[in-house]
Amino acid sequence: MILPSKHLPQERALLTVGAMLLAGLERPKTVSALWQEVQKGAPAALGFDWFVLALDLLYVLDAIQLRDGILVLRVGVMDQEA
Amino acid sequence: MFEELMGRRYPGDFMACRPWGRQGDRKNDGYLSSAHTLFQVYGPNEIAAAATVKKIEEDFSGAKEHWQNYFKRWIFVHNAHDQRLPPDVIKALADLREQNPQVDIETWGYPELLIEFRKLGLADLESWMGAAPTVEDKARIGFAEIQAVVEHLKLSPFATNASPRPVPFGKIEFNLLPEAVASYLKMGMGKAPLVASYFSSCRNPLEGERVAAAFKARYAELRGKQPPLHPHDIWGELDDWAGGNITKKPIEKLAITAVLAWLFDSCDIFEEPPPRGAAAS
Repeated sequence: MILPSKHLPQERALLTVGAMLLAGLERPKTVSALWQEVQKGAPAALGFDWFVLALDLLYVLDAIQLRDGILVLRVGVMDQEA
Repeated sequence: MFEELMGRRYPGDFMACRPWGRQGDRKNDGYLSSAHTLFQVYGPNEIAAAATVKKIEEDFSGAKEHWQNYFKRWIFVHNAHDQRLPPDVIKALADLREQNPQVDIETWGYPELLIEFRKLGLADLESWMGAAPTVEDKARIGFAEIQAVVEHLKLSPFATNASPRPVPFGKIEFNLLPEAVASYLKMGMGKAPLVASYFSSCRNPLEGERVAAAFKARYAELRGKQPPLHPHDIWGELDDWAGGNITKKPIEKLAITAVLAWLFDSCDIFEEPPPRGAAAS
């Protein structure tokens, strides 16, 4: 479920969805604001449970954190990407 | 359980007795009005002779005290595991019969209750036990796995202007599948892309994986049978399992064939031939 597989297309794998969420977190956002934003831009049907799993993945990878109810990128995440 | 059974067997006739405060049940565990029959139910974990004799004597005596004018038949219902009662209990019952010739005294165990149970109608059995799976349900148990996609495919029109996806090259021959199965596969391949697109748009992204895993496991089970099944028979078993040979509606059958074709194409069922040109070792 994290990586694409035979019956899980790349755009639906958690890693891909997670990358999309990171892109949406250029500025800190609430969970609900990010959810609304990705629903508009998601290339495939994205359920809230799958969205939360992608957030969980980013959290355990230490890519995001929650500060006072606001999702923020961990320092250096986008720099490393650049 | 006894009250449930008798209530359904004799609706409007059998009256279950609810113990009432200090009065208790007055030695009445149920009354069958039309047959003037009083029931006394005894269901200990283990039938002990002395305790059972005491129970029978007390209950019968109490029944006479409270219900003498209302019953002509007294039935002692017990749960003896092997249906056999201790000799002391049999003697106690025989004594009661001798002393009370005006009352028919009987014992009911599992066999007698089973007779009553078997007389229940289907509607009663289903409302009590739930509907039993039919032979067809059992045969098409895999259908539950693909019901949603089958329903979706039934509503999806064939793309008449698009050429159907070809059956994977060499795979039919490699798996020794006969022409009849190949024809089915070719027919199913016409809708196989719709199966893939259904799973791609499913709310649960793992739905396709789940269905494929179920069929893959069933295929592995059939493949491992001894003596080995011919691939043609494996196809037939998979088709049965998915409901393809039982369903009466052609559109549903085609949808099931499409799912099987999709699984065949993705190599979740049947064996993948070695790459073309690979040297035999």
